[in-house]
Amino acid sequence: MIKLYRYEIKHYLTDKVFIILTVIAGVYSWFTLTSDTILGVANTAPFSPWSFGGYLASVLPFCLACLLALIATMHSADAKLTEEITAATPTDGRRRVLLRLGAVYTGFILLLILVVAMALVFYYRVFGVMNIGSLFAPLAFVVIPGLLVVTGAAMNMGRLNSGGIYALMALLMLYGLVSGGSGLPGALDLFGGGFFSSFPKIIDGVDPAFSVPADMLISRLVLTLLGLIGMGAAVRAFGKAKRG
Amino acid sequence: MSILSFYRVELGRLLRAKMTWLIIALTLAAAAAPIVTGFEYSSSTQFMNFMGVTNLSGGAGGGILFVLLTLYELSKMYEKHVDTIVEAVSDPARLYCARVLALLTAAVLAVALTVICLLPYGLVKLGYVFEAGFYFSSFALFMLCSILLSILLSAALYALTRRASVSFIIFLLLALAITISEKFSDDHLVKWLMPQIRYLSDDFGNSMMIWLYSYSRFIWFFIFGGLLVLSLLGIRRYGKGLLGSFRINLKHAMLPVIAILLMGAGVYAYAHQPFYDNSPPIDYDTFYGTDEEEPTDLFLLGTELDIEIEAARGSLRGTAVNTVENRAGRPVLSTVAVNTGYTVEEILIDGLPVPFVDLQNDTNGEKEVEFTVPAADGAQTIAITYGGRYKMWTLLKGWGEGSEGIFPRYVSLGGSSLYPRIYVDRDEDIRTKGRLTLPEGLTPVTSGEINTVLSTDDRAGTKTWSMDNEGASMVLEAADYVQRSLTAAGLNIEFYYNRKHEAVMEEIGAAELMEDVISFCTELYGPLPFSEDIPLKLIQSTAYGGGGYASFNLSVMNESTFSPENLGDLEIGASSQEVLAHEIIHQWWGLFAHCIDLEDTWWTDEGVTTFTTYLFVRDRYGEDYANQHYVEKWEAAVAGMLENFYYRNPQYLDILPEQYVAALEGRDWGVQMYDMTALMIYNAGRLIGMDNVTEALSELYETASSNQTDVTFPDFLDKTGLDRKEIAID
Repeated sequence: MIKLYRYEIKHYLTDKVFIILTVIAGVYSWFTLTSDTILGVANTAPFSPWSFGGYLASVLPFCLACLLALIATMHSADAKLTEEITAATPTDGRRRVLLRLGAVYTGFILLLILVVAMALVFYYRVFGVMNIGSLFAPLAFVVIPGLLVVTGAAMNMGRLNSGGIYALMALLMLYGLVSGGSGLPGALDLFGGGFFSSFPKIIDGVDPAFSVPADMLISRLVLTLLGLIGMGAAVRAFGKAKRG
Repeated sequence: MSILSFYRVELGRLLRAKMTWLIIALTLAAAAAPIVTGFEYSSSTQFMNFMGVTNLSGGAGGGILFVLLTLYELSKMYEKHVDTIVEAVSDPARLYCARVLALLTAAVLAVALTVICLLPYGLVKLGYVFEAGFYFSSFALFMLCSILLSILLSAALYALTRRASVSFIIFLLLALAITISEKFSDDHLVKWLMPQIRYLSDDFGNSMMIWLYSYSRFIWFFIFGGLLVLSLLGIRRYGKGLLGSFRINLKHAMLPVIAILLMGAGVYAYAHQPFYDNSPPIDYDTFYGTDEEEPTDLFLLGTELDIEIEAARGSLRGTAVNTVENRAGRPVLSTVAVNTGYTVEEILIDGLPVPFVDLQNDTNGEKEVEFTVPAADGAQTIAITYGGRYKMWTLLKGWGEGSEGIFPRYVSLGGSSLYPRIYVDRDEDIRTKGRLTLPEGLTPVTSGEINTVLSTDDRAGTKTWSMDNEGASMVLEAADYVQRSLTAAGLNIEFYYNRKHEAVMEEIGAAELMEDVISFCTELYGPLPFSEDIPLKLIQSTAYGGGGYASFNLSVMNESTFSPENLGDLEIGASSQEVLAHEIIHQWWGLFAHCIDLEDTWWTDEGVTTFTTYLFVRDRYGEDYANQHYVEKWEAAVAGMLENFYYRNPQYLDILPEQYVAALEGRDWGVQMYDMTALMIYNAGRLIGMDNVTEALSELYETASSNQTDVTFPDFLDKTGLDRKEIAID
């Protein structure tokens, strides 16, 4: 299994698509930091957990679009041809899907590390601030529900029609565009952009510590659960299809 | 086969595909989405809430949809592995061009269908406001061009990357990052996918937006066209990669040359745009009058103007004859300031030409020209001939385009944009007067006396009007105006509004509302000293004006103030009524009495005017309504300023780019002048009673207007008997 995982990692992460997207992610992150995050979110410092969350909410649609590009590779015509051969081997279909998903997620995590590293470099170079501990909570708040929901949707979409992943990519970027400061209700505010730009303003005092109200927390849990259910359904269907 | 032959085949194939018609249908749906969902901008115009929103959503949605179609169509041949067969019998570059042309044609078809399908709704929704010319041209300029540019860019990206996913992501980034990023928030010329339009004028034309976006489209068609030509070199040949194919395709030696020329032309056009000047960001400390003007030893005795405006070309030409006295007893270096788009052609002193230097030092929307006035006994005339195409101050970039300038259906000029402003010491009782020639369809309203027709030139289609104002400057508004005479509290008022808006003005009772404001202020502060010859002039201006302004006997309010929705619906809040009342109240505070304080520079007429607007609304609609729509708004704005990270930590401002610092400082100045000052006066009212504060303001106005003195913040504190700390906000 480890050998297969290594193979998948090599397959996805040395692919030109991933390399080009990683370079673009770096450029886009720096652009976002120096042009938008530098102003701070909701009157807080640019290096506050709120501004960091706002930054992540801005770049996450792009990172997830990159994830979708990798998932699209999983469902491409070439991959389907290869699948005909690998399906004939004595390996479990579900496991193969999970392996590929693991490889794709490894790519996404590397991308995310780059995005976070960019922010840390920016905070240190521009403001002389390096407070990594305070950034974990907004990181988990933004990334986990968004990642799972989009993966679940993409895997199901890719199973039905690989072209649909591109439509999902467009929707994702458009959603990122309109949801930023729109004040969407919690469950619809997938990346929390609206939450970061509005919630700190209703907390007493300036530069408030990062906190999440109960309703917003519940909405994150519901989205996470929905994402897991979607992914589970896709993996299950994939396994069934291969057995059939 | 030629490109044309390929194109015919490709277009036929494309139009037979179900996917193409699905994309066309979805593009139409994207344009119609704001109508279906009932999305509208509040306090905006009917054009914006129909043509504006449909174009924006159709352009962005259609652009993305057509990119999907483009990538699908272009990648299909490679996905199905038929490229080796097809390219064996045809030139791949030509075939690629033909495919792109076919996709562009499908986009034209999609927009044409959108225009036809939305037309009946537009006719019903816009009614008398509808203009066929603008309806069709707006869809061509905004929606169609966005889609065409999207196709060109994505086709270029695909030819280079040969990966649909990478091409799509780069496209989305280039399109959306420019649309949402703060960095480009005020730059119309880079908004190639989603134009940055918040207003479209119903009544005064939209020439500025059309000029700006035509130019922007020109830039991006060149850049993306060049990129596409360049990308043709990257079309894969003989199974080679990007670089290998480049080497093979370089046999088309002209392609890189054409690509570089096209892209170079686009970049050059962007760098040398003709709309904005090169003024540096504003210095708010000096701009709001803490610097006293230095004496010049030249005394102005009067100015005679002869100006001809070519509205269709956005230009003017004129002569300003200043009569001055040089009291220095020696030659004096003199300066005139003029709009940065104009050229001073000649300066004659007592009929003799004198040398002059155009300093080209764009600052605050004008540049300076220097010349020497010789020593002389008695009066001298300085005749300055000038002309050119009006250029915008960069401060207007992103929000004020179209509010000032020369346009076919609207002219708004003042200060050095109307005629060269000479730096002089002024004597009292001087006049600025002269002749103004305009196209027949435009009626001028200038500060001072009512304009009368002096002559008509039927052959040229122009009319020449009189201008006459007490004082050393002149402001001009011109459009297809209807003039209506009113009287309120014994005051003569001339109300000018666009002929196209005539029926609505009657329906919404705009005149009555204005009379109401004037009666209220007359009761509070006393009557304005206007006469039958020089009446108060209330003027409707273009929606691009942002709000309005007041100058001399003019109070100017933008057209969205006068929409039935805005004046008829109290729930909309303060925005529209505030603009209307605010600009009228400036006749008292701002024109006949001034709040100026060299120590507390935020203490200006704006704060007292804003507070008086609150008093009016409170009196008419009740305290709860006024507090909700005014006091709460001031509190929120002040809190936003005080809590902002950079306001609390100004030491970090040094790290911000210059444009951001200017934007933050501008916002803070606005909050301090309007919201914070009004809130401080309101706080005073809470401490000593609103009636006592009102009485204090009334007394301050009477003293200042009759003695020609300025009202300072300490004057206000003295009059109310309060201490600065009691009402300070920090």
